[in-house]
Amino acid sequence: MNFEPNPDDVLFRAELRTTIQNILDTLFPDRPLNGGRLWASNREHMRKWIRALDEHGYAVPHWPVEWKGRGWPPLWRSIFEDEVSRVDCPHRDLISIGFVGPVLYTFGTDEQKRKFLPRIRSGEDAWCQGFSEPDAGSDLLSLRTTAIRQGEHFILNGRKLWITRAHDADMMFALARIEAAGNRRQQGLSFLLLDMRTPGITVNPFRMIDGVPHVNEVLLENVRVPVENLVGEQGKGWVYARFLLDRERSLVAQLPGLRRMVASLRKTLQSEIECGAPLIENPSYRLKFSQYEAELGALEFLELRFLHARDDDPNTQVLASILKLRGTDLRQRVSETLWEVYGDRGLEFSLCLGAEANDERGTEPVHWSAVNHLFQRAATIAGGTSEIQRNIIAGVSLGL
Amino acid sequence: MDFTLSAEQILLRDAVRQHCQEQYRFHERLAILRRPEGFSREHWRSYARLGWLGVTLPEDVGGFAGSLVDLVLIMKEFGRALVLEPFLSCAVLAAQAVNAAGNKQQRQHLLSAMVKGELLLALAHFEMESRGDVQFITTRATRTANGGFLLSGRKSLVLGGGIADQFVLSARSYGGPHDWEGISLFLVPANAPGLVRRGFRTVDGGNAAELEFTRLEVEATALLGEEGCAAGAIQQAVDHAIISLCAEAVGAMDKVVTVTRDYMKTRRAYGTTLSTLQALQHRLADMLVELELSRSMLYRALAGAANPDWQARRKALSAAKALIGRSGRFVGSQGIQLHGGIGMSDEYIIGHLFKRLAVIEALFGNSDFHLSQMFEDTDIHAKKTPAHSESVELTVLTPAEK
Repeated sequence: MNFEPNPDDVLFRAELRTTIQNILDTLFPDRPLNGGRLWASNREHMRKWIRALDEHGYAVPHWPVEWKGRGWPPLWRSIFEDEVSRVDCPHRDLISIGFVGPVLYTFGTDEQKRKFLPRIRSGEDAWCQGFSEPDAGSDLLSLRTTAIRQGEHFILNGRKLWITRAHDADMMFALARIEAAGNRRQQGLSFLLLDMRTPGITVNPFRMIDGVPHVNEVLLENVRVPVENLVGEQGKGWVYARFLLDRERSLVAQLPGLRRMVASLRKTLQSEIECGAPLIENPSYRLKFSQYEAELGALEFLELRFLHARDDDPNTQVLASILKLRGTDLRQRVSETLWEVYGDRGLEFSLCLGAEANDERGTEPVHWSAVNHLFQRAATIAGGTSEIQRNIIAGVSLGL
Repeated sequence: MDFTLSAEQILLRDAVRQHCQEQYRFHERLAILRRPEGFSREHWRSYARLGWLGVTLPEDVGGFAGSLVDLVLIMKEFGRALVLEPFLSCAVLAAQAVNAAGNKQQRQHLLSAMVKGELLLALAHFEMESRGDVQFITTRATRTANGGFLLSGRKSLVLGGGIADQFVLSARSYGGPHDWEGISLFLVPANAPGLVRRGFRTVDGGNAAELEFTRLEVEATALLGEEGCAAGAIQQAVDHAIISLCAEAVGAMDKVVTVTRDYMKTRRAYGTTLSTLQALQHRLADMLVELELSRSMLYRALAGAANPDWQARRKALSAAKALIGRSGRFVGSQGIQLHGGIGMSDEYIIGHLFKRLAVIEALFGNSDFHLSQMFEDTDIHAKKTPAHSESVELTVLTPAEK
């Protein structure tokens, strides 16, 4: 055990910072400061950005070297994420590079790997995750979408709900049930890859409480999926989904983004005035802020422990669940404070019913804070609710 | 950054763990707790023999020049077993103050005796009003005609003070109570005429004392190092103590979670074991979460302690003390709650773990104090930065000849 700083890490960070800055300046010389969310989640911006990162070998550093990953030590992976989060850049599509990519290079056929992995890396394909249904959220095993084999195709029927970015996606990976006599609940599930342009797929965007249509209902009516788009074995979809969800738990903490929110809170505490004095002089805000910073620091080291831990150790799963549980909890509390500090001005809602989704006013800090605070309520639900995380943590520690 | 223990670190951890498991079982500890002195001199001699008392002290005083990680490994095991010996107060707090402030002769004379287990030292520094603030000192030191000093003041919670042979006592040679400059350290024998010592036990059973002295006369040689320059040494000692306490708390929390988990798996109610009830499972999960966050925070504090920047180091240690302190109280109190009535028994370990965790939270500034310390900004806390901050290093290197 040794926590002395290493000069190689410092050098790595410095070089990375310069490279990333250069890429951004070349690609987006006129980008909005303070990262407008709508600008950052624009599909074309995202595609340009990931492609440029790919040219420098930075699109998927966490993937195996065989698929153009970098084989970096865990600390470098976290430095990379930290550096990317410091700059005003487009979002990266975590569903593609973080979720389905690893499933494909771990369980996919050679053909699937060759076909899909390079397209993910270059930003050509954006993916969405077709897991949840109206009656299957955290309890994913009760999903009802069916797949029936017909010659060289599966015919899919069902209704997927809360599908993030489906309206923008080229591909979807979905769980569907292949019914057979004697199936146990998890045995019927299969993991399938769908081209979103296939006839029979209807995408209906849903406006969330923050006024933005992030998610969709996806209707599947007699959708024909070629059998070569089955990942792994038929009926083992639950194994692959679990693999993916384990990764998701650690990714959704997104600590660098949280660090950025905390930094922005500090700035706002200095600029917002209460009865003639900056809010930062109010002791209750100071204590609150320090508490957030302390918790964030603990989570960052917990993440480093997670990255250093072995995949097959059950304790690794516990660390991932803790990251999810407490990362999202902190995210919500910070976003609440970040909204509250604007006082009266924070109550104006810029993305009210009927407003266009591309209204850039929603990206001004005061408006963004109101919208973000609402959006963050989803953090403790998506990717396995906080209660599910507690079940997992207790289950492993009690040996249940 | 390396989270894996080295072979030497594993040996040290296992040695401490084995000692605690074989000779510090709860009933044995309870017997030691109920002795008049509240600790075991036999165990103290064992720690000396095993080299633990000098683990982070330099070799020229008989120490092992180990790292903070070594200290943390010992303290985690001590936390698990609720060790009562004055390791923190004597081998960490007082010893680090002497090592950082004393001249070569003073260091070698005092510390080699301490490392051998022959001398019990205690740092008499904090006062009623300090509440964790290292530089708030009102005890006065004035020069006498023959070059000695007259010391007047009160020290409120001297850890290990009831059993100490000698005190490392701080007093202000000049400046106001908030000043960094002007604090000196003196060596004062426990039996010095004019020193009134009132020994007592703390809530967790630990040994402590309150000291009162008016115009207590000491010789010029009692001054450790240079006059008025001891704040950095005291801060260094307190920093070591804070890291030690954080490690001890992690060990104690680990024990609470383990004991509680085992109890939940055997205790039956409503025709089932407690471990099958979801409300209780979630409470245990929250305890484990606090433990793992604290463990992560401890590592962060170790990384922060290596930071050459004074402010960054202070902030990392304060964040750790604040967060681990709160987690400890939470884990300890929930441990009692999950046990039900038996958790309140003084014959059962959970209550003792809770008491220790509660005391740890309160020592050297509670969580709120440390949260407010984290918030360094130029005007309000400027006075906190010593002018000579470069000289204050949290390392175990042998100080240059003084």
